[in-house]
Amino acid sequence: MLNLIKYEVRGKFLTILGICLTVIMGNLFLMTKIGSWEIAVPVLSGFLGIGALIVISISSLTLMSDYLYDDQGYLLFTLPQSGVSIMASRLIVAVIQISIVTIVSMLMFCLLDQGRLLNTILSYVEVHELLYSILIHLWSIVSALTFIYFCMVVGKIALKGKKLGKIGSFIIFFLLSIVRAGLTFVISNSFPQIVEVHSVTTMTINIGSTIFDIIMFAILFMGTSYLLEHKVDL
Amino acid sequence: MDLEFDDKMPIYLQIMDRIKMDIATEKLKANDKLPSVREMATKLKVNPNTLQRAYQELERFGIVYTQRGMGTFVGERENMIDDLKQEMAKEVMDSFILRMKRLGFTEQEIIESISKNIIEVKQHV
Amino acid sequence: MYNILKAENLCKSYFNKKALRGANLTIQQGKIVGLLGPNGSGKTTFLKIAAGILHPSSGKLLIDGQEPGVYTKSIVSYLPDTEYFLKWMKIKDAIQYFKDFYADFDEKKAAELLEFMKLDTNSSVKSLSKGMKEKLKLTLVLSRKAKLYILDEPLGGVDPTAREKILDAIINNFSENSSMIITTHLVNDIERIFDDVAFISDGEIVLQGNAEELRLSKNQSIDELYREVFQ
Repeated sequence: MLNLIKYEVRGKFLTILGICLTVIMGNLFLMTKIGSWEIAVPVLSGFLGIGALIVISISSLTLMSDYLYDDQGYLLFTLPQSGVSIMASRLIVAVIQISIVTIVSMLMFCLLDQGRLLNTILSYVEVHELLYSILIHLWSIVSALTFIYFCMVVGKIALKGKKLGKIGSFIIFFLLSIVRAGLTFVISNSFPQIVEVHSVTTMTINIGSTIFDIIMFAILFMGTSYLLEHKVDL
Repeated sequence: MDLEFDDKMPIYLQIMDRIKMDIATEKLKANDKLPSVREMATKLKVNPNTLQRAYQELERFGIVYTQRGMGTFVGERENMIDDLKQEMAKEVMDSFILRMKRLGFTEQEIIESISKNIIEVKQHV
Repeated sequence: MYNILKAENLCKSYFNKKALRGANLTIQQGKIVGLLGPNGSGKTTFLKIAAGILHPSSGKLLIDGQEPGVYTKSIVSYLPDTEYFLKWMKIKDAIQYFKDFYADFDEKKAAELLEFMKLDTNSSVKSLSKGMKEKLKLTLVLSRKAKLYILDEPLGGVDPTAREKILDAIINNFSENSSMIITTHLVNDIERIFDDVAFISDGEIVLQGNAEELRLSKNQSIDELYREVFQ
């Protein structure tokens, strides 16, 4: 698994570098406009950051798509690696890449606004609440990616051809999202017990739906791993 | 040995013939080491098992012998060269006689035509 | 003799066609087997199932007694018909990749083969011609000490001099502990390398046997026999 991580990071190294450099250059440029563009500057910086995140997220998805539909898959799927290993390495690498891009964007943003926003935040919240918030965000990324990967793999297995497979994946994603939202709604209503968590913004978390999310993640992760190892036909 | 094999016939038999020919013409002498199976297989571009079979069959007939770890060597049986010459000559002659008979020559006519042609056919070295 | 591969009634159906209809094949240890048939006969399908990247609809295929999976992938070295290299790699990266993922990879052998094939470790994969890519693929596949080598059209799309080198590399690689299954439609060039041959037509094995014995009994070369079976 470590080897898979090593090669995926190396493979996408230039992409990450490109994204980071773009964010840095963009922000440096914005710095020159602090006097003239006023409020637009931090907003644009934020957009840059969000844009970078979108690019890296799409890159994570196209990588899986390449494995499933391109000749690259012949290299990956003939390796003596289990489905769990492939999934785990993919998610870990995605987290690493997203983290790098986020950190770079945020650093540049802080540089831009001289740390004012950061100070404001830190005066209102404790460090541990900040960390908790970060963890929750990482969790939602991992969970979302797993869900999408599951739909991609099912689409690949169920439908023949690249176009059909991808369209099918999208439809499956759409339908399953609705089902999932519906189930979450039902569960949170049946088990209204909540927990109050103080993070950057005070949140209330429904215990039932959280457990449901965790179980869903486990099922989707194991399911995708199993399908990757035993059912994918190249 | 050159690379020209007839794919219609088992290759191991052809390899055996080549080796027998080399022994009969004294290109290979008693106790000479034959190339290893792998060497020969690569040179001739054939499956090593085919070579192995050829060597084994030759050993069965006492034409070569194997020393474990050392290789396969030409045998030194007395009269082996003569025997091989006779054996191969017989094959050539039988085939020739059969074909001449098919063409309609009688036995006497075959002998006469040999006498006539023998001086003319030059030997290929 | 030990069977490294055993396929029993192997079937693979897609929505609109049956690629394999009950294929039966055994491969013994130490043998080189030719799987011969025209395009669409099911040979690539068969090989992909053995490689573990395709799953049968029914029937069994066992390699070293196990169904294709993580274990068999570690003892099977597969040469696919596609160009599967990662585009950012140089040849030395590809070597390192195989070394990292396969415990049976022999680095020394890889270096020898690269030299034999006249490939430079610093070249980037993108810059290689088709023939050089085929040679690189073969180098990587043969540098593993696998129990079963699966070569799908190793001579395809290469010029005659490259073919010579590839055949040499295959013969040199032979070991009693491993077996090979090779598909090709260039039967003439390669038939002397086969111990056994199996003819596959329309998803079934229609003829199987030892190459030399077939030559003897049919008084034909395997190439001629191939043409006869598939005219």
